Amino acid sequence: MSDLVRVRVDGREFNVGRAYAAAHQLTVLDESAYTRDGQTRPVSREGGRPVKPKVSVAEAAERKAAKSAEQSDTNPPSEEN
Amino acid sequence: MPISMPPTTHSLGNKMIVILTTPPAAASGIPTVTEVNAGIKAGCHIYGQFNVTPTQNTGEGPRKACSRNVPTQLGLVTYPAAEVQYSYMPQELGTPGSAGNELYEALDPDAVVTVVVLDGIDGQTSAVVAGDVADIYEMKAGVRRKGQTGEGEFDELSVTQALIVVGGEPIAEDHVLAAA
Repeated sequence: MSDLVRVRVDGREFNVGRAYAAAHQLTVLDESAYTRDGQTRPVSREGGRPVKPKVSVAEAAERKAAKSAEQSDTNPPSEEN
Repeated sequence: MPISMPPTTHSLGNKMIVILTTPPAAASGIPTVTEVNAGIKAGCHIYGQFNVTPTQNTGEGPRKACSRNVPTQLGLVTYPAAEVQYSYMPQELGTPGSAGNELYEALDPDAVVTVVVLDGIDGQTSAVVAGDVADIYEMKAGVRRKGQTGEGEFDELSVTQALIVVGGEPIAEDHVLAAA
């Protein structure tokens, strides 16, 4: 039978077995390891926010510059007959 | 003069299986060398083989009017559940952290773990190093089936469990582990 608990390690929350959490003295949270539809809850950051890839400011600026470069904001030249 | 044979790698005891209960910090799910070394050396608990082997459908494709041959096409790929059989200490389960029950405690039914398989490395190697090549899977544990390795005088108590590949495919194959 499943006996999962929700633990917090280094600012991240995830599920482990109760015995494993006890053996490693992990911080057990008073939260269910399952979502309301019965699925196991995925890894999340502290407070339940989803884990997202870290993007540095430089990377974000680079991505924005690349996007604006491919999207020309000037009107196409008028076609003269 | 005969040609020289290509180099090969022995298989016996030459597989390292590490199970991480803590999800890797990287959003990609790929662990670093430090994270792998903090994991459970599952290869010393598991009996027999541990292979995550995909299967792929093949079938007959459409035949052109001018052809008398039916082409064979490649189809869907499936990663079947991997059955693992491992040792445990039933009378020590009341004391979490007892030696011999590390894998039993890590593979609680429904627990999601990261499995790192390093083929061609001695299974009793204490630590991996940067540059080692690994296959990485995120796997979910099924129910525990308690039993034994056999009926004979040399057999041991064991647990058998199905591990399914989360997402239906490996996180990474032939990944070169990085130090950080």
